[in-house]
Amino acid sequence: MTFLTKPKTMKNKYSLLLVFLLICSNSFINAQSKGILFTGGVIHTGNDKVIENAVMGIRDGKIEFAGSGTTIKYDKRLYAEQIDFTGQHIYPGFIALNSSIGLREIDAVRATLDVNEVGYLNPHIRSMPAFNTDSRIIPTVRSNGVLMVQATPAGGIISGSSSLFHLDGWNWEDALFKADDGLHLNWPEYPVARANKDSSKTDYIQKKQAEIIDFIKEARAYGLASEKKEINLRFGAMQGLFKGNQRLFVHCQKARSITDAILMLQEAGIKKLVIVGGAEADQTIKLLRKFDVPVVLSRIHRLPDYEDDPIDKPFRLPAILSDSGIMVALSYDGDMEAMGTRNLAFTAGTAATYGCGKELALKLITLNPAKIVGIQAQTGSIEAGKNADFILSKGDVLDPITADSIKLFIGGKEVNTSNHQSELNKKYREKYGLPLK
Amino acid sequence: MKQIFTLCILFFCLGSIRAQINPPINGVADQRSIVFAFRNANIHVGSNELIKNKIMLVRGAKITDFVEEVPPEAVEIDCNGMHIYPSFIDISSSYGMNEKTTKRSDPGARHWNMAVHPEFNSADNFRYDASPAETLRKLGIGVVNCIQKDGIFRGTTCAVSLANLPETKSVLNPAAIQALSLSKGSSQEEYPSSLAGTIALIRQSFYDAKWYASAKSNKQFNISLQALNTHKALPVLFEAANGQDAIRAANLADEFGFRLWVDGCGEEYQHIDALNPQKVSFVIPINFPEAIDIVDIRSSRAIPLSTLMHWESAAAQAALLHKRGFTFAISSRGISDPKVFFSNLRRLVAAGLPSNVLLDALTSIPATLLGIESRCGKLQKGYDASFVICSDSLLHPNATILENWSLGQRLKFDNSNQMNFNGRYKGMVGKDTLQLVVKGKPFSSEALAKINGEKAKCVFKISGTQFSARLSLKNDSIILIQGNVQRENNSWQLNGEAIKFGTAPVNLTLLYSGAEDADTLKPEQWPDLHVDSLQLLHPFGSYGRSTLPQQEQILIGNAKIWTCSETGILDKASILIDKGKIQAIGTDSEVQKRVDVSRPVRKIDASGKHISPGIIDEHSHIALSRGVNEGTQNNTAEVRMRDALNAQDIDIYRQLAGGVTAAQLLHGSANPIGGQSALIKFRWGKEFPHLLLDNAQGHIKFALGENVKQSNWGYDKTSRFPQTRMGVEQVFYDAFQRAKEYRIMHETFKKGAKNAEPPAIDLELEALSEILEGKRHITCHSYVQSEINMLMHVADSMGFKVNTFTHILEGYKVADKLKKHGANGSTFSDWWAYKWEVNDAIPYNGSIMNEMGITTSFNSDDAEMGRRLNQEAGKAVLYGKTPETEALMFVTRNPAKMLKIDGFTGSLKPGNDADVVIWSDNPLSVYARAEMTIVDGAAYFDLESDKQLQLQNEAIRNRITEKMLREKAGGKPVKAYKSGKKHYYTCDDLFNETENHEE
Repeated sequence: MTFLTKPKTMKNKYSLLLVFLLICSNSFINAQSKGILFTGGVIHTGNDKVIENAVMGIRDGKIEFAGSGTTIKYDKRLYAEQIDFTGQHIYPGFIALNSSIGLREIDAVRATLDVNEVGYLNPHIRSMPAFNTDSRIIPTVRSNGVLMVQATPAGGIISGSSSLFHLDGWNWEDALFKADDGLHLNWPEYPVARANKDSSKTDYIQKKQAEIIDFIKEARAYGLASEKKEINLRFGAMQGLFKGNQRLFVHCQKARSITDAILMLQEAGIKKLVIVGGAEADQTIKLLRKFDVPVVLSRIHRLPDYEDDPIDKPFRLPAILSDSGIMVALSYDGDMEAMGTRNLAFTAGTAATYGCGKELALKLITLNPAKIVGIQAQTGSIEAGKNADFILSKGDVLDPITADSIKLFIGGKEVNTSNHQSELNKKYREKYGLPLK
Repeated sequence: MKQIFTLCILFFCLGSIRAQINPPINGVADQRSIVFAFRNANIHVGSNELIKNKIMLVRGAKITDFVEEVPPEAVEIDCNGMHIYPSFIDISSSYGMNEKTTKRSDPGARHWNMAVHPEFNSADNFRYDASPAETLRKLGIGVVNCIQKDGIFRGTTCAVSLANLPETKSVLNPAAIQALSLSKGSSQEEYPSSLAGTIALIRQSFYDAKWYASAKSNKQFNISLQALNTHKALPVLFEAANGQDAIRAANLADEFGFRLWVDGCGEEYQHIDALNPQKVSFVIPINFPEAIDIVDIRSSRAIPLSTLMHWESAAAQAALLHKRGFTFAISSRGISDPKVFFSNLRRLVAAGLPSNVLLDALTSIPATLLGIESRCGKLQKGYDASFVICSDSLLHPNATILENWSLGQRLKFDNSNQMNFNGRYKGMVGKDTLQLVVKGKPFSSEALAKINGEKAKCVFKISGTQFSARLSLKNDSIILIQGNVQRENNSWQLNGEAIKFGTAPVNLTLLYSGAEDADTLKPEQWPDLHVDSLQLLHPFGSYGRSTLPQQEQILIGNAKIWTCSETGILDKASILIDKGKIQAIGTDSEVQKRVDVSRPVRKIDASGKHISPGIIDEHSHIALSRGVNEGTQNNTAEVRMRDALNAQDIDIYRQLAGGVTAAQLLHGSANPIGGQSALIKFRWGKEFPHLLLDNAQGHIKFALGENVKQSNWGYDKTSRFPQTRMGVEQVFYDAFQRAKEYRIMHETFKKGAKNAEPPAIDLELEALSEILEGKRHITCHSYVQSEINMLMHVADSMGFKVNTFTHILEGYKVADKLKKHGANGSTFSDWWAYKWEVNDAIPYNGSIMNEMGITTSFNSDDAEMGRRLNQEAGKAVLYGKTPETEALMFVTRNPAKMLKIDGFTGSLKPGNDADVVIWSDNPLSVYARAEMTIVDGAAYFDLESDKQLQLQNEAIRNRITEKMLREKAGGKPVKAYKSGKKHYYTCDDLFNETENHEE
């Protein structure tokens, strides 16, 4: 297979060799211990900062330093490869939370779906062993800068635990970044606009809520018991929630549901809550702030829920919440979510247009999701000491007309920007004698 | 309910009894040719005429005279203070009809579709039904029009009296009107499953009937078509399920020339501007919606604004129809409680309806429609003795129907021969003074009591001549009084005893001390708007406007103009819009000169902004009602999406907010040959017929692949042909072969072969013939290269052209072939992986096709993405490196070309329609917002008026919410809101929203 032309920025023979190696190894470039130095371009740190004329050194999979070329001292000679990215941009890799990438291939073909498990209370279910690193979707999403996903089961009421994966790896063990980062709970939604009079549905919802809370309390008691007569896989899988090393991702949209969820689950002893969905989170701001609950918003490229909502209500939601001091990340959940995740950055672009501004918008898909899942110390922004997970792009990655990823690095390794679709593009351009772009 | 009304039926023999005609009598004959004389009544002989001082004589089934003196032989009925009205007539009733309908299995030479049974005749099936008859008569109704409310062509209806008579006698007109609907009802047949399919079936049936009338040697025997022709002259009562159905019915009435009465749903007033009082009349229901029980304000936002607005406007419909010159009758449909019925009649008047018009709408107008105006609907000598005696004037809050006479048959609802002894009474209970006021409507059981001047709680009951009252005193003790009512010295007296428990009963006499004080009636309060304050928004609901945006002279200057024409991009340029057209584009100074200074001009400084043509969506399913797929047959070319438009869809407004000005609304892709497209502009607020692009040519949807072979419909769907791409090919060969033969048949006839008979019109084959003639253009849903190639082969060999392949995700694989065939490609920017056949879809597809010289567009097939089509076009820049100017054409000029509307829209050129968008940024950019969207030179969307409309939404919602809460606080009935979630259609969607899925 041949798919890499000589990039302009590769200036020495090493890089040619590297290209050769890359071609041989299909999709991986060997991790370099000799270090790469990037100079001259713009770094968007993911932490609200834009560094012009920036320099960045990476080595052993980590960012050594990143900052202004005029202030940072460094020794060029220590870098086997030096890339002048003047006129180009470096961004942290995007992190897609609440994703079914790796668990889903063709929506209409049942055999390719590993998302919904049978059963209602399935805390023991884990996405980790089902994550398919060879999904044909992965390279198409990665090309647009999504370098990490939270592979998330979705069935039942408690769906199971998600894990974080780099979108690069020989197998799931290899791609795994953090195992079992949190459990996912589909909190029962109240019906819309029903009066108390017609209470049957409301009663049903409240009964379901009570069942969940009872289950959580039992799980907690199980963990506290000094002697366990028998092992319960379900309860065992939930102990991290009470210790605080796992998060509970509560999926719900409506204000009434969010309110109940936060108040009841706090009461039941859950340490770290995250609201996923949050269509009406703007109506629960006080509560979200009080309990310091972050929100992973459902795909904001959607229509408003109600007829007389402002036409741009979902677009504005990230800004409304962020301005109120709530930690927000963007997800791309919904129809055709796996393949559509390649548009995650463009939803951030929309958030930028509708009140966030570009750097905050970037944060919604980089540092904020990293914080929400507790990996901010390792990745999520361009800062010294963090994983070298980043995008080198020709232009603004949040806008389709300028986004053009030239290089992608995961853990300091350069990964392939091409995919089967770009291969087909080449193949048919050759067939028709069209210029290869 | 204690009340059991004494049913007093006097059976009159009407006319002379002859053996064989009337049923034999079990017993001796009981002829009673008695004369009844109604005196002291206010007799409403007609809506504008009231007789006060005459006596109405009734003998048998007829009103015989109005006289000064009661004849000695007459039974006198004293109607002092009462009002007599002609019986009300209800046009929209299913009284007397059996549940059973004509079924396909019914024998006989009938129409092939079970929902089409114009041969059904209510008179053949009508049966007297005592219980519903009494319910109706309590409402004052004496005559109803019996409709078998099932199916699309429901047959002829009959006008019947509600008297308990042999059916032969109660039928007043055996074939009064024809009934139609848009619902197939109990029909087990799959076709039609959609609204558009239903209208197609109606249209075809009328054509069939026309042909049937003219056919000679080819004639078949078909009782359905025969019946349609027989009853051609009858007016049509067309049932409407929503406000816009009245417009659909009116369109059909125009097309086939029938006199239209819309059996309304109550929302018709919202579309009144679209209807012509000369052509449409109404039967209106008055079962107004109850207030919604609003508990949680946040979640009450789910209640559409239109639902809230309708709640307070519904009662003004009648007044508005009257004001606009429409004729209408009132139906009791949905109401069985007389209290509700009469209070709702009063609400009509309170909302501005003149009371005489109200009476006409209950009596003479329906009588005329039913063709029984010479005997019903008025009280005149010789007319039917069908009338009601009302305790008061009809509009009095206490009005109740006391008696309902139907064809001389008396039905009493109160024992009105019982004594009315309302008044004040006084007497002694031992040492205590007892005052009692018996009041309320006569014969009710209301009373007020005072003991020694102090109010006591009193429960009063009257039964026959006897009364009882239970008095609860302040000290918790109880006094029971009971006794009878007697007339003493021309006055009433209550005689009996009072029982204080623990003491011996004491005798009691309460003497009449005068009439009860006249009730000071509290003026009734309703939440309804008066017709004069009814402000119709266009459309009626969120983001509706009271006046539509007007065409203006607009000069936009200093802009970067993307012309999407040969002119390319103009920097710092101006554009002048006037009279709906683009007048000039160019440098500011050039364009300035073209301004018509005699008229106002709106100047917009667009420094830093971009201007583009309105975005055009080649593939959309918004703004359609009740199904986008008529997927029940593999060929439904007769179906027209224009019949199913929904101009109230909020997504029209949302598309405008994304700079989209026009779209092709397509039939779905459930079958190889789908329905005809509707090309519309997003003229938000106009009624649906005015959304259509009148100057556009015809288009039609075809489909290939997994949807048409039902691949993803479940494992049980394996029997409808076709199930493979092999079968799909044959569907097309078959259809076009038949269309060719059809054309030959018609052409031969046109050439005038001797003694030729006109061949039948087949709307399905007509549409296919139009394709063969190049007058109708195919948009074909397609994915993989094999099927795309196949259809081009079919087209080449059958002599037609595939105009556009839509979706065409593997277009890049056959781009050379597409080019050769001359087909256009309308694709998605980047969708794939949602089903097997899109596994090889690539986001470079559009760019490759474009570079191959194929006219290429991006479409949405999605209400949300539709409003971001500009950004989708930007993805051609990202993936395929398509130059920006060409990428923008993917959503402007190119779709216009495909839709053959590029002659007047899709690019910015002088003379083109002024469909123009002002963007805050590069129109392809994610950072661009449409700041103003102009359609036909009128600003249908702009950020400033959007803000105002949001405030308006908010204000209306708050006002009505408070009003509803006040209703609840005032003890008025409220109901829970049941939300029907809005359904968003995609291509392979078989959902029909009439099934109204609840959340």
